[in-house]
Amino acid sequence: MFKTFRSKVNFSYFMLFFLVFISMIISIQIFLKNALMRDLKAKMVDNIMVVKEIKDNVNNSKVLQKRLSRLSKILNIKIVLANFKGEIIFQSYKKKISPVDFLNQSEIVQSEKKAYGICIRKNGNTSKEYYIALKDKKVYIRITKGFNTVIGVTSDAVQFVYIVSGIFLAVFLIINYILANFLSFPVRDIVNFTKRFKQGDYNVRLPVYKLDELGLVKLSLNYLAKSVSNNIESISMQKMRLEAIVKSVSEGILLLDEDQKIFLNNKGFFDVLEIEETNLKGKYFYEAIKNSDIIDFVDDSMNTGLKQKAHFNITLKGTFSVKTIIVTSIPIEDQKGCILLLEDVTEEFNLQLLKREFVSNASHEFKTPLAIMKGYIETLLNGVEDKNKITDFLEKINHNIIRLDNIINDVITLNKIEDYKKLFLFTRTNLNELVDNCLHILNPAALKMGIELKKDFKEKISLKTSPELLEIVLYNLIDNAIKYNNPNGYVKIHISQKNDYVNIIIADSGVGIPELQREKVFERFFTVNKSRSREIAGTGLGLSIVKHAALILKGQITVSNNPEGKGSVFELNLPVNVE
Amino acid sequence: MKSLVKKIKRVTKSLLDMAYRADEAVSLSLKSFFEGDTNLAKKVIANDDKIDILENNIDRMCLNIFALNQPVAIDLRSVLGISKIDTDFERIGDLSCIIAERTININKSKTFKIYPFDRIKELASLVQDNIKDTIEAYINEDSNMAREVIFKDHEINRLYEDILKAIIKRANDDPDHFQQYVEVIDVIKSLERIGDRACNICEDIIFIETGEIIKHTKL
Ligand SMILES: Nc1ncnc2c1ncn2[C@@H]1O[C@H](COP(=O)(O)OP(=O)(O)OP(=O)(O)O)[C@@H](O)[C@H]1O
Ligand SMILES: [Mg+2]
Repeated sequence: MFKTFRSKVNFSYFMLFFLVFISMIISIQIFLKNALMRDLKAKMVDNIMVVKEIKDNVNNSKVLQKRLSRLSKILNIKIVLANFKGEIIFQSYKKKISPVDFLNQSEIVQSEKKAYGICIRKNGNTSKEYYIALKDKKVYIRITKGFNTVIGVTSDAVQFVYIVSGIFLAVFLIINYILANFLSFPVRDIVNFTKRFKQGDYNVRLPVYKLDELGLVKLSLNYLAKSVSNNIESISMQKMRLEAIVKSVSEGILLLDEDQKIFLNNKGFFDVLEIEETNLKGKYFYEAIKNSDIIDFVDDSMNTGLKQKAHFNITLKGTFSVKTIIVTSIPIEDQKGCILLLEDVTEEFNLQLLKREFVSNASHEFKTPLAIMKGYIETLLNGVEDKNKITDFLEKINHNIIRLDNIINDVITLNKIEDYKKLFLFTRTNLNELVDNCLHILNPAALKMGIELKKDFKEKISLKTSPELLEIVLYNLIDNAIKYNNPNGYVKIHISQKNDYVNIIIADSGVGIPELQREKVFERFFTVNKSRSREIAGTGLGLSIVKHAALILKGQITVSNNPEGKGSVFELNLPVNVE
Repeated sequence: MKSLVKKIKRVTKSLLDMAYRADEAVSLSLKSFFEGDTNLAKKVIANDDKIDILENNIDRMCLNIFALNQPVAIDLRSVLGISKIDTDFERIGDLSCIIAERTININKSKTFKIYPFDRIKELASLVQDNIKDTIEAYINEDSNMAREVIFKDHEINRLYEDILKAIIKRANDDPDHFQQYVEVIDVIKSLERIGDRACNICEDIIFIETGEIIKHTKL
């Protein structure tokens, strides 16, 4: 009802003063009435004594009547004289009074015992009247006076008191209002202060003018505000440091509250999932991580309260590739939330897959020639008579030894290229020389199949590169072009310089590579047609060596169909200058 | 009895779970198709069970809410929407299985080359984008994004028609691989239908948010 401190003060003061005034008025009224009554009685006694004196001293009844009539007019009283039987002897007014009535009046009855009988009553229609009676030797004397005058005086007095107290009350209220305002001013200060403090203005302080009670309250509030703002500052410093750490980490981090809502995330989160940055605060984590397995995993970890780690495959928008990420879920004690770490391990994972594949492939590749050799040797040991057969067996064993040797050489080269990237020396190299070297070595193989080797370039081209690696690359590419060619086909080598890179094209008229497998030929141990490769002692390592070597040479290798119809085209672009 | 809010939160989470699985099924089936990965295709088919189970659960949860909580206004629309959207996601899962099955069949032929590879890839990434955007629109209650998805579906339909014509023409020139071309047509048909389902879902999203029914009205 009274919202403000001020109105409360106002109201209580008002009530207090109001009660005081009321009781004052009542007591004044009572006191005044009593005093007037006493005064009136004394006057009436005086009056009745005068009547008695006149009656006693005047014997002549006519004179007496005249005198009393005059007296009644002067004093404004009614006078009645009656004998003991109640018969009226004298009456200053007209109204007829019966003897019985008269004797029964209260003042007359009283006057039998006391000196005076007194009664205040209404007489018929008239207003209240004051009766006083006296019993003399032979007669009752009674005089009457209107009571109105008395009441009039009292009510005048009361009215006066009302007016005065009303004025006082009004003055008081004004003073009270001003005073209350004055008192509540600091209170409103404090209210404003707390409001601003709540809104985050931690530097707000209260002005202290006086060291009264409110002043002390203000002082202690200021002290409280200071220590709170100090605490907040140190907490927010800590929070900022924490956020800086979280933000700077390249792994994705999500902090969840107990409702699984996100309250902190870093940029790494978007990078790992390869999604656009948005405001995630307040979203459920399962609205941000769109993978059911991860959701189940996190639910499980939060329910059990156990730290868990697992890897997941996620699909990406726009491509049809899959990423591998490791998610670590660390629940905060008492189900207060959870920390999620997301780590992109796609590369490592693929590399691991590749390694595992390599080991299984390599062991397979080693095993096949060994098994073949073992078979022939066992037969030979059992004793073979036929000379021709023995040479045939030995030739087959030799073929497989060459195969094994090839594989081992390839693996060694590949490892060397992968592991000792920095060991290759870059020098200015004459490209023509390198190509001629390769062609010289491969010429016999080409001749055997009737394949024409065409050199389709004239100018001397030199570039800064590793001759050792580039020779390996060229050798493998030309070797393939001959191996996977048709009899009487051709291999065309075209080299040209375009601005700051050298373009090497090796085209053949061979069997070609199906479109679907074109990207795979660079993988280790991949061969398009297993049986054909085995026949010509291929291991599927040549092009993966080429790919790695090209990488170290800062070049690019691509493969496409030969536009001249059959066959394939390998294209290598190398920078002329490498820093 | 759990409060309505909690129940809706739970059923929404289940729906998202289902949506993510359906999305993954689409992406992986397409990956298997383009890369000729039979194992992956088999995995997609095996995972479809989970989507079906989720659909049943969600339907049961929605029924429970209708019966016990009698939702009104936005809550009513949410639950109604969810009970419709989940069938669409279930169908998207089934259509992904069709793509995976066809992939397995196609892979049996060693000589067949997918044609027209690049345009099918374009179609596939349009469809995949639309699914991911649909999920995003549902999460963010973004009816504008939902409208965009519906709009982009026209392009999917157009591209689908083009590719269909191209394949039919090619199949006539290469009758040896007739069977494989039929399988590829099934794949692109499934893609087109997945696009339609995404549109249905987007219509429901708009209904949930605005109470507006845009089914059968032209945008
Ligand atoms: N010019 C080409 N024409 C047709 N097919 C080719 C050509 N070059 C490579 N290939 C295919 O790519 C596969 C991988 O080639 P790669 O050079 O890596 O291995 P390889 O030749 O079989 O063995 P290696 O070179 O290690 O002796 C080959 O088996 C072959 O099927
Ligand atoms: Mg080779």
